[in-house]
Amino acid sequence: MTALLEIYRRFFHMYRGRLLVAAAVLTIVSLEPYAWGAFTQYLVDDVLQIRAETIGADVPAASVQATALTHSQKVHRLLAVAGAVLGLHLLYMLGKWWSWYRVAMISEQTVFRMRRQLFERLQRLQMLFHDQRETGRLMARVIDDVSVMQYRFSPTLMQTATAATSIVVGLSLAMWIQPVLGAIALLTVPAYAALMFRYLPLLKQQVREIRKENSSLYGLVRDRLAAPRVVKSFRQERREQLHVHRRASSMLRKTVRHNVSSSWLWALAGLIAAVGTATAMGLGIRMVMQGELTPGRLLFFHATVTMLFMPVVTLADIVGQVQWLTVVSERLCDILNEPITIQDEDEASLIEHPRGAIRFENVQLRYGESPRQALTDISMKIPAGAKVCIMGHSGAGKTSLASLVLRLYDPTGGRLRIDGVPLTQIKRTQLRKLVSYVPQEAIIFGGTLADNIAYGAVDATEDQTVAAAKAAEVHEFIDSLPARYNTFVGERGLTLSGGQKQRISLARALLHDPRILVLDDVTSALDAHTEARIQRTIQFALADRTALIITHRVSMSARADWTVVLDHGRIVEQGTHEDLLALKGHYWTLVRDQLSESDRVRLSFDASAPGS
Amino acid sequence: MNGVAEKLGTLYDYLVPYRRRLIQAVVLAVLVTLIGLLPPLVIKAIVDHLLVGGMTWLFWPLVIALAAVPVINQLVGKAFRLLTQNTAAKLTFDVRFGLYRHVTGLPLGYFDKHSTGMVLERLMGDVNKFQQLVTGQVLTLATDVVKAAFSIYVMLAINWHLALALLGVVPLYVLNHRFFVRRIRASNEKFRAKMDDVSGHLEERLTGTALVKSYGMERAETRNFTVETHAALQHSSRARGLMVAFSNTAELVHWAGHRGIFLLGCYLVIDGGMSYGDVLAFTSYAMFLLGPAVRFSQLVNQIEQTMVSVRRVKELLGEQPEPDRGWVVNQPDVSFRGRVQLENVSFAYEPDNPVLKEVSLDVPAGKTVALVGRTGCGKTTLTSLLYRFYTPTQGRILLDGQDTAELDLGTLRKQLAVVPQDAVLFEGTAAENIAYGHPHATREQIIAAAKLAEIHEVLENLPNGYDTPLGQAGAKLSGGQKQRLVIARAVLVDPVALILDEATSSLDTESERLIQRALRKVMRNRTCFVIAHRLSTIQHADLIVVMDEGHILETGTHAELLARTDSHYANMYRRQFAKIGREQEQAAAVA
Repeated sequence: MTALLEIYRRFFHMYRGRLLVAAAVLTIVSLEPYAWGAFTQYLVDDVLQIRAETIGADVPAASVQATALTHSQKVHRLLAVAGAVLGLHLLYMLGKWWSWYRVAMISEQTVFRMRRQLFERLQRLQMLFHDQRETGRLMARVIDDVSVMQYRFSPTLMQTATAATSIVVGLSLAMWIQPVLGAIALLTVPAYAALMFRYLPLLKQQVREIRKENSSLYGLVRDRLAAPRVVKSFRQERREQLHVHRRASSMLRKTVRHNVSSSWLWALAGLIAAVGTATAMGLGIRMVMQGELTPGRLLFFHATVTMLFMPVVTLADIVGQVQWLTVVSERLCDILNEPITIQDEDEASLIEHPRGAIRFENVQLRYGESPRQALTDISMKIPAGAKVCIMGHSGAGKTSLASLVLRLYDPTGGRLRIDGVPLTQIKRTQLRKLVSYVPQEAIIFGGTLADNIAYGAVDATEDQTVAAAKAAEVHEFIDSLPARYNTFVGERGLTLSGGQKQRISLARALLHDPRILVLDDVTSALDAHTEARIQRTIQFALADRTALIITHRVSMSARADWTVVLDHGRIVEQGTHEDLLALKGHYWTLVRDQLSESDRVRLSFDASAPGS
Repeated sequence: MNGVAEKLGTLYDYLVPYRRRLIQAVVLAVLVTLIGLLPPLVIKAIVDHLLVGGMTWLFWPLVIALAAVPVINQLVGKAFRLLTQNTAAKLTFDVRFGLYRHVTGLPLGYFDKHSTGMVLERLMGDVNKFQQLVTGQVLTLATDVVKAAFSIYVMLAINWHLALALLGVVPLYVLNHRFFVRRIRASNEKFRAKMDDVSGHLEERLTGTALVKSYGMERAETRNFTVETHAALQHSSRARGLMVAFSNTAELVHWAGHRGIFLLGCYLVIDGGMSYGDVLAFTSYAMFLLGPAVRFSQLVNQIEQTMVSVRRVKELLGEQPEPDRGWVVNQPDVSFRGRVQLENVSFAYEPDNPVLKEVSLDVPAGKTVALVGRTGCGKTTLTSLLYRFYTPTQGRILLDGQDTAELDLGTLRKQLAVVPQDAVLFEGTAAENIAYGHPHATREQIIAAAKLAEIHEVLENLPNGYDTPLGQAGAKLSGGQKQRLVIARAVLVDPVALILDEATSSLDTESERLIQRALRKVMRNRTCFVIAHRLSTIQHADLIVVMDEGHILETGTHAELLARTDSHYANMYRRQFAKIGREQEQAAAVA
């Protein structure tokens, strides 16, 4: 409920005036059907002058009538009523249209603002938040949950107002028309309402379960359809069918159960309404026959009572709606209230003439609630322009270390400095220009190649883009495409190979002319030929920049100024290639593991092809 | 009925078991409609005969009718709803499951050509539509026709002048519908298209969060997103505005028509042409007629749309299942040894573009064959043919001298296991994932396989050991761990022949070493097909097959092929060697 209030406060409170006016107008006009009932009474009793045959001798009070009207008098009165009825109806429709239109437009605006705020929040939220969540689930919030808000929030607000008013006014009217008959209605409506309020939310719950069952079935089927090779090669078609059969049967059972309960609910509700109405009408007819009630008034009563049951259903329905809205609100507030832990501090400033020296001072890192420390006691100095390799087994903390330089995470202990300034005090806008990152898996966005290379550098000129592409050795390839830099890539565009993607990713990083370049194992997923080319490219690209190179390849570390070997989040060795080899420690083992293989290769190659 | 059967094609068969229920449903529907049409007549009788006419003996019958008609209607209605809804649910189940069974039997080629999303959409979305057609739209149409016919009859009987006046309202409905519906649909389509863009954009940016952040593009991305959602807002605002206007004008026409007819009726009462009860009844029936009149064009549209879904489902059902003409079924006493022969095998996915050209190969049982060659030269296709995922366009593949085409697919595939490049794990526990190909394996067997694949320790250390759920929602394994788990899965079925398709190429050195060790144990005593890019991984193969553009260029052992200096293999080898050459220099220092 608090989440619902918060959503209201954030997104709807600013429209409260307009919403209130719309609700007021809607409530007033929603009483028009009752007015119509009153008109029919007037029509029957005072225009058409329909008289009931009365039984009983005494002259009843209700039958005391004015003298009979002439034909033309009747027609005049009818015309007057017609004018009033149609005029009122037009007003009613106008009011209704106006208020729903206003409400619809407010919802649209709100949805737009919700999506924008959610997106902004998501973009600003730290990596830690994203690591712990699946993209699909976040997507569902921004797209589906917001749609729920779009179509339900304001209508629910409006309907609650009009339905409640409608019931109160209807019941009072029934009492006013004839207290005894009104009392019967007063009894039936609560019985009807109790039934609805008790069981409608239950039915909704059942529907929700069926939906859940449905999406679980969906997930199962999708999983299997996406991997036909596995299913087929292990000949599990029959068993998969059984799985699906089981899940689909369970859904079928739930659906049937829901159908049974819902058909009972509506049958019972109909029963209450029918018996109540019939009892009241029976009494009413008797009253008319005894002259205590005019026929018109009875018909007015009938119209009123018939109208009464509709808003009860609406209200009971709203109980379910509100539950749903609450759930959705909570999910949205989750994101909107998630604290952003990484942002510019107040005293953040710009470094003048950045050079690119990095210092780690006793840095500790632990991801969220993880029991394991990702990095422990990392201290090192990287002078500007140095090329440093980071090596170690997978899971040793290499990528974590690199991410810290980008400030994708803040260390849980210790600090980093660039050119002597603590990282937390460098404006993030500058930091991001200072440090460029080439991830292990190149990410290409849908768009043109030029867009992709100039990503993050909105004001890059074409020359700069081409220069970066040349530096990354991807210019030739792009130039050979028919649309060259304007070629579309990504989902609906050209498919790029791993090496091409990687080089575009590198060009993107180079375009910023960063002081510090972080390369995260950029070559491991490539085949030998492409790898050789990329390595060459990288050599050129690194000139006079500080570089942090995560790698498995000894060929890289041998050429680096310095190599740091990580193990279980700690620096276990560091030094130049030769120093480290001399240690005969971790590095030596890494090199040996890698070379023992090629060693054998070498030997056999030499043996069989002595000429080369 | 024949026309319907023809249009629905194979889907009609699914309806057959429900024929009786559907007929019952139609009967009940008509009954419900007819009972539903009675209340206005009761009211008319109360006003005209009881109150005005003074026929007091009608009091009890009418009051009882006033209560009984809705009650009976609710009860019959309950039966009707229950019958149709449950039939709908069962029908959906039947069709969906039948379709799924059909889909699982389709050849792999079908999945190559069609996206998962498309098949899924047919299974989940279109099947629902089919169900709606049968139990929703067709029934609505039937009851609407009954309603309209009955209403017209009663209205003509009460006052045909007024009935004609009513016809004047109908065109207004049609006009309103015509005016709005197309516009709403157009705006909605634009909105949908924009939303597709928005969610595509969103997904891309969320997947690439690290990139967005590392380039400091959060604000710019938010701006782009704002522009896109704003464009969506324009279309959806327009659609919403039109929708509100449409439903309100429809309501205006509807109720203004009601009030107008009523007042006109009152005028006739004054003139003495009608009784007041007649006016009440007439107006109610006018509403009964107008409802279906409006619905009719919508319904026709809906049915048209549904038929698109029906066509899509039908199309899928029409796909030919995987050919399994093998008659040689596994006998318990016959065990395969694993000799694999390819005789002049050719294959093409598309007629003009052969992937394999007259490939012949003889692999003795228990030997390891390495397939080498550029991407797209037909290595993976060759192994797929072993499985008979595809049927060769020419030539035969023999297993222990037996043509695989004559083998029952189940028997054939039981002899094979593959470790692909991308390890696929399903939702389920680690044990379930390992036992995927052998669901009745004991825990001991599973553990033995895991040990062989060097994954036992990892799995044991998971929070719930082997019973820890894996997959999307479960524990995350690294690439190397997943790969080893998949190896365990392959080992557990104890295949005669094992296919390793780039099983190690996307792993780091450490994981690769572990996997290599696991593989060496697993490959013992089995016929193995190894596809690899890194030549260092295959030099121990008994036979190396170099392929190019669907041909076998050369075969031989590592030493034999290198001995021929002009061989393609030696060339490839030298190229890879040049890369590691520099690393080699460093080796000297180690040694």
